[in-house]
Amino acid sequence: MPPAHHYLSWRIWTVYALLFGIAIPWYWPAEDVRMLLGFPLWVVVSMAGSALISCYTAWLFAFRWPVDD
Amino acid sequence: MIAAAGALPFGTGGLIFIGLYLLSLIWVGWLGRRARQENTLKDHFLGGSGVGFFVLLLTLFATQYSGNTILGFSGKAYRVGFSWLTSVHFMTAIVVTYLLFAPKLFSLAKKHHFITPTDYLAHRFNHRGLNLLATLIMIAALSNFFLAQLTAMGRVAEGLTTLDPQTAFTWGVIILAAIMLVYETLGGFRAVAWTDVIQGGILAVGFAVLLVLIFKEYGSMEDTTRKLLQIAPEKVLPPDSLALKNWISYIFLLGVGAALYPQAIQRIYAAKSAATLRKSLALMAFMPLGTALIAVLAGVTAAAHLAGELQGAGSDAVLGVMLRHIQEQSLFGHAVVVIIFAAVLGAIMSTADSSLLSISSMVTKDLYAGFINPGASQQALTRLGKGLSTVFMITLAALAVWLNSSGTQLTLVQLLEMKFDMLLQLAPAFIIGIHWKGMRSGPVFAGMFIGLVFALSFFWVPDKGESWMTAIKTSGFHSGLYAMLLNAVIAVAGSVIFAAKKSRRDLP
Repeated sequence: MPPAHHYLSWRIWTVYALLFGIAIPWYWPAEDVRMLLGFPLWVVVSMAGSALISCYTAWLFAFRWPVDD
Repeated sequence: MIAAAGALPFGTGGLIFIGLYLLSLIWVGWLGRRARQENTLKDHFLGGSGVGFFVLLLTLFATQYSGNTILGFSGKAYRVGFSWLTSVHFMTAIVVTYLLFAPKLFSLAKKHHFITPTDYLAHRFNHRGLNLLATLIMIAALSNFFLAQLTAMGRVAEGLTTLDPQTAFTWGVIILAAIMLVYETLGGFRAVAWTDVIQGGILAVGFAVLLVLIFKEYGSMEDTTRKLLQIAPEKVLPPDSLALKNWISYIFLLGVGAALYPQAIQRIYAAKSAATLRKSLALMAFMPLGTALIAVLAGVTAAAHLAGELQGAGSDAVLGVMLRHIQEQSLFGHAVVVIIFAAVLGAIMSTADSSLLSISSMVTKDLYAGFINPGASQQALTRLGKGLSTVFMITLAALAVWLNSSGTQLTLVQLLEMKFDMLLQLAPAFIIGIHWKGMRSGPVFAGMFIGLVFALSFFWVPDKGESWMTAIKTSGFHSGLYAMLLNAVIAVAGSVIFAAKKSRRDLP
């Protein structure tokens, strides 16, 4: 705990599009009842995606804060 | 809410704990008063030179997570099942949205001494109509939010005592509102932020205790999921097409709308340094996993194990029913229920007090000093700000009590339910305007006004019919998002056309 427009870079928002694409359960079959760790499988994958979004966001704030200052 | 599940009468020990907790808030208010450095708006509304990492993190947390997070989210998960995990996504999306404007807004706020969100708009666009419109949008949205928190306070009071519900509601609102008013008037932003440390701390403990209780009282998640799959499979299976559209819509609606809450923007201003702000926001990114996720698990557990008991009860009473079960088990159960109750109370009060302070700051600085008496002294404005807090508190507390006793559903209240659709209309000015110097004030004002009218017009659009507006309303995406898109197109296209005309005029 290294420009001001850095957080607008297409790379960052491409990563976010991928992570939200994993986290939002749009690609699961309607009758999918597979389980993992006591939860429906789609819930585990969705929450894992959410945890990745949190980690990536925290990393951006902690280590990639735009210093123009 | 909690009370709808039947009263949870606390013993003397429980009531003493809650009483001491409330008294500690007034003590913190007095400490905030002693720490005052000067009698100015900046000191009263932003805590002077700013707050450090620990206080900023907990005030962001306690303000962002309201009573709705713990009560409403568990109730919604009881109704729709695992699909309400969308709440984890949109609470995370709020922090993601800060990437788009918080660093630059913080830098500008420190340089130009902003106090209210409208100060940024005045600095960037210098357009009085835009200042007035944006301020009115924020005050309307926050007044609704504040009224909802006061009502939630009354519901908690109903659950605390064995008094008849209406008496408990009325006295609960009056006593809790008075306590908030005392510490806020005494210590301003410092008191609000420092009490948020207590409230945020208890809220975090409350969620942790709730997680332990879910597994201790109702067994493993596997049992819960299998049971729910038998009695209500739609609450376990992946969301259908319409639910998915709603899921994505919520991420944009709440992710952008809640990031533009005035009290949240003022916390960006109040950070002592950029390092303080970035560390606090970095940790805020993880909060949904320890709060919204636990509330959803509580709701899903109740849907599996308490389905029969809640028929006919309001589903936001889920947590109350669970707590009553736990309370009856043992002395330990009784003690942890008191802690969760204090957490709910803390979540509600910490959100309400920051909303009230923010409303008061905008009326004082943006409306009174901005339009009525620009020459007023700092002392006079600070005094006015405290007076306005009292007036707002009494007015809205009286409205909450009247709405409860008369059973009236005010059309105005329903209208203001669209607060996020309204707040979204600020997005182009804040998020695009802060980065693009070519954005012009006229098109931004036109976009915001047309977007607001378009968003609010959906209130009168029927849910069934052939019209294109009905098609939009039932598309699965919130109407405020369509309005924001229209708003942004007008603001951007208008600015581009304006620049093209200007460059043609400037040609020799």
